[in-house]
Amino acid sequence: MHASPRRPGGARLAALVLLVLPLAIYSFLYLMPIGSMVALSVDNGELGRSLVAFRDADRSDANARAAALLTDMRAMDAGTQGATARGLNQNLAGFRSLFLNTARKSGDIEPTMAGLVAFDPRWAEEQYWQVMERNTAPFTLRHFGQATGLVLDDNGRLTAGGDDIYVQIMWRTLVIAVQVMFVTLLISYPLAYAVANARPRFAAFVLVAVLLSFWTSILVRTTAWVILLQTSGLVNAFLLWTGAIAEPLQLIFNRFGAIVSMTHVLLPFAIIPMMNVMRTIPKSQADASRSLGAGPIETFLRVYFPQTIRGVAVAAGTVFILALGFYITPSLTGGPRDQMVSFYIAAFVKESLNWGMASALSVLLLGAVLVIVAIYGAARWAMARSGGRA
Amino acid sequence: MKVIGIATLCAIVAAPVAARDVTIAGWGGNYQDAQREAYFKPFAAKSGANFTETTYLGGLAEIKAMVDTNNVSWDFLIMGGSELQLACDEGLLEPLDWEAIGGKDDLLPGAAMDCGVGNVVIGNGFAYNSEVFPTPPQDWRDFFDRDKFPGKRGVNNTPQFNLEYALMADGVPPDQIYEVLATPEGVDRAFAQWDKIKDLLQYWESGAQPVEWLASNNVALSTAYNGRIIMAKREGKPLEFVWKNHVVNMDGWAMVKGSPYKDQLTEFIQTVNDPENQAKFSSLMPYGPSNTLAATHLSPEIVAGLPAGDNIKEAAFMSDAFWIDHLDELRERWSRWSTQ
Amino acid sequence: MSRVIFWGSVLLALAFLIVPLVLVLPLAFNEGSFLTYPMDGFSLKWFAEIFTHGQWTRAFWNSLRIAFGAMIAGVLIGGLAATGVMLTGRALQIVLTGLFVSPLVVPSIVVGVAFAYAFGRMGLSGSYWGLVLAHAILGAPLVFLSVMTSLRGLDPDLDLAAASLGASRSHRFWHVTLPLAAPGFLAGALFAFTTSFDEVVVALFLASPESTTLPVALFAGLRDRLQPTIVVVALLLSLISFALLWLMWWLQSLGRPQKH
Repeated sequence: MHASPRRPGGARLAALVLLVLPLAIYSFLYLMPIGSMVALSVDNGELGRSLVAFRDADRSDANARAAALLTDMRAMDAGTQGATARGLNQNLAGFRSLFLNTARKSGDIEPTMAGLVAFDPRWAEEQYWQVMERNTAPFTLRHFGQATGLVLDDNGRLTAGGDDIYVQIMWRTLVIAVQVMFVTLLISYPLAYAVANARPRFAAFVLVAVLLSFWTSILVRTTAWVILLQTSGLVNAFLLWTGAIAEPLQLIFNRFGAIVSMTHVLLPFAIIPMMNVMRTIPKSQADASRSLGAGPIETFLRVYFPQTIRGVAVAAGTVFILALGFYITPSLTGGPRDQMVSFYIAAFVKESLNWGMASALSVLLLGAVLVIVAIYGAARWAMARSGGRA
Repeated sequence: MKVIGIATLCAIVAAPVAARDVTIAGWGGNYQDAQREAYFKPFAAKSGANFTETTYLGGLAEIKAMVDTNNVSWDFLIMGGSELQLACDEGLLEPLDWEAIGGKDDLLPGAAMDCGVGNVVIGNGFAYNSEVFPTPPQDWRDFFDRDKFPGKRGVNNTPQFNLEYALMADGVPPDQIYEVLATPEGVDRAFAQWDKIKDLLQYWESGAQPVEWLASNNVALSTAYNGRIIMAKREGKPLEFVWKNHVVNMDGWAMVKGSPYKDQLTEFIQTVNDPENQAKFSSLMPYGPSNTLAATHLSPEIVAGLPAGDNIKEAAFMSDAFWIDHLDELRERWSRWSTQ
Repeated sequence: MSRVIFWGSVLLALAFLIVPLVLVLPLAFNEGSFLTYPMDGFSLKWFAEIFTHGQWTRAFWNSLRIAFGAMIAGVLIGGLAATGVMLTGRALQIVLTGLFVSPLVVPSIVVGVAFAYAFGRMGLSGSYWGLVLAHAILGAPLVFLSVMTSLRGLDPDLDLAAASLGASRSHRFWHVTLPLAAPGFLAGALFAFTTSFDEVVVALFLASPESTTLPVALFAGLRDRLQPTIVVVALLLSLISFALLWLMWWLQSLGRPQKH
């Protein structure tokens, strides 16, 4: 911009020098971690790398398979055995103890099918062998399969025959985000209107309130709602005192609590873009409409509101994208039925050390957000091209 | 000038810690306070080592990171029984030398493990407010009986223990629950029990919540840890713990693999196994000793609040092995059930 | 009629916006341990408990140190990126802006998982530097945007004027452009500081018990049990936020007269 166009080469060189550090840091500490997370979602971990002899063994020869498995087991150290067993157990519950018990004694077991079955009769069951055969490759789609409920049938075709719990959770995430978006827009519109159109003193007061709220930590605002909404909290105490209710209402750990607190947290993000658009609308337009005989409500609906749609759209998009990834607020104010996909991602990392599932769900969430941003960008671009004010 | 200032600042904030003390990770709060008196101080006195403490929040992620990056900053830590076994399987803990430690036979069955020792015995059952129910609930059948004992129930949002409770309510004897639970029909049976009171459930996340909820009549009954209820009772709250058919589990001590204080491992394990030290812990914190000899050092009033003696006559013992195999699968099923 | 609708909806919305904090934060001074009105009496005992409890003070210092480090790193990254991007061509500008701003859009849980895994392998997990760098990445886009805004808003005539007086390009950059963009840097620095100071999710994945931050400790406390100490921490966090907001406003009012 301000760099004079006389020596473009110099500007480019300066840009390069300035950008080296930020680009390096972004690549190493931001793009690479996200990339490795994506890789992790299809990585089969130790399981995909440790069954080496088994992978090459003749499938039709049961004894050769058994011998190969025992060879692999003996080649693993304790940590690898544990990690392989964890991967197998994610495929089939109970495989962990079977694998570990056998692996620990692998030196003493006769390397035949009969020897394995004599050690533990479960080795006679075909399901265990099938699981291992499916997992000899270093890459796997099983995390995405589990996340989407899609499974490969015997003919190699994708069918929706799997467990759809995570599809339900993703659907729930979308539903909550839409609910929060609508409530947020409904509440923030009058506030944005007040900032743009009320008398300066009142407008300034509302603006200060919005900015204070915006700068207050999300966690602090969530804390306030936890304290307000708890069974012995302020809202219930007030309602009991007025006599409106006889028994405390359940206001928290359910959808109501989750939506109220999320809405409150997201309000400033909706108010600010709407306010910016509303400020550009000249007041004279309303006066003109009124002078032509339109009532105030008609003026609002036909003249004012259509011009604010752009601000509303920006607010809606921002709130929706932020709401999709919410974790802290619903985890503190929602019940088990109101947890969004983030909650399950955190649980996979923190509780079951299942990085594969955490990554697969993260990739799906990130994908959803990027798709929405792309649609958004395309819409803006199209509007700019068709001559509208973008 | 500014650059130097910033560099100095960075140097100050990132100063590395030289040769560190023995670091013990516990679960914080009263629990760790009691352990400091009963175990850490005697250990320090005996071994001559200085110790510092830190908090461990559960899960294997932190320990795995330490071992994998060879940056072991904790030495001893207390873990839930299943997690201890898992960590042992994954090679994250130092194995114990039971011949050097000795006294294995005095411990409760299952307490002496390859990489750790069960130390704190916890009673998992349910509690009620004695002011609300003049005729108190007796067993799990009553917990699941919505007509006889109306009102909301506080429940931890996990399948662990809850499925065991349900089976015992359905008449399965305590020593057979894991055989039944290992079959798909057994799991269905457990969930069928929970279906009966599903609309009454309110989920707790921390052990403090059942106490608060029961004391404020927010729920009528709640599953709980015995220690929290007994402590509240000592503070004068009208709460009672139901001992019949409670499920016993153990927390245990272990050492992170690669710790520089490996020489002290045997001494530390001996200290936490010592019956007198254990008795001291149980007198401070109403959880049971894992050493059967500890009871002789405790008064009958204290024993009455512990998962020990008469209280565990009809108890079930949690199977770490079962849960290590089935936790992922059953957790998924439980979360589907609880969210529908 | 329309007035009633306007005032009714504005006042209700305003109440929803401000009442929760106005009602809850004073409970930090409650004598009793119940978080409800009427208060049992005025007391500072919960403040005393916070300040004598090692756990909270340690978390507070951790937060402060991390936020400070993240601010410096964030300003460096975001500031360099913004000035660099200003000097590139139009197409590249769009691409790079997208890249540098993108951490704002990526859900924090996704960033948390990615950082927890990658930093864990680099041995940065739980360390001071791990948290500083992670928070710097989250704060850099805000620095970038505010520096960009102030650079864009500069009057190109000033640069031309300096050039006509014979100032060299680098001299112009260091002595004309940058000082004029200084408010942008300062605002960006404040944004980066607040972002780090209030951040929970990523810290939840990266912090070890030793490096726990105040928001993480507050989150853990909320999940454990509701005590007045929690309100005290919330109040302190808000006061710090308000102080920073005031600082921001003050800096802007300082910057304004210079433009004319």
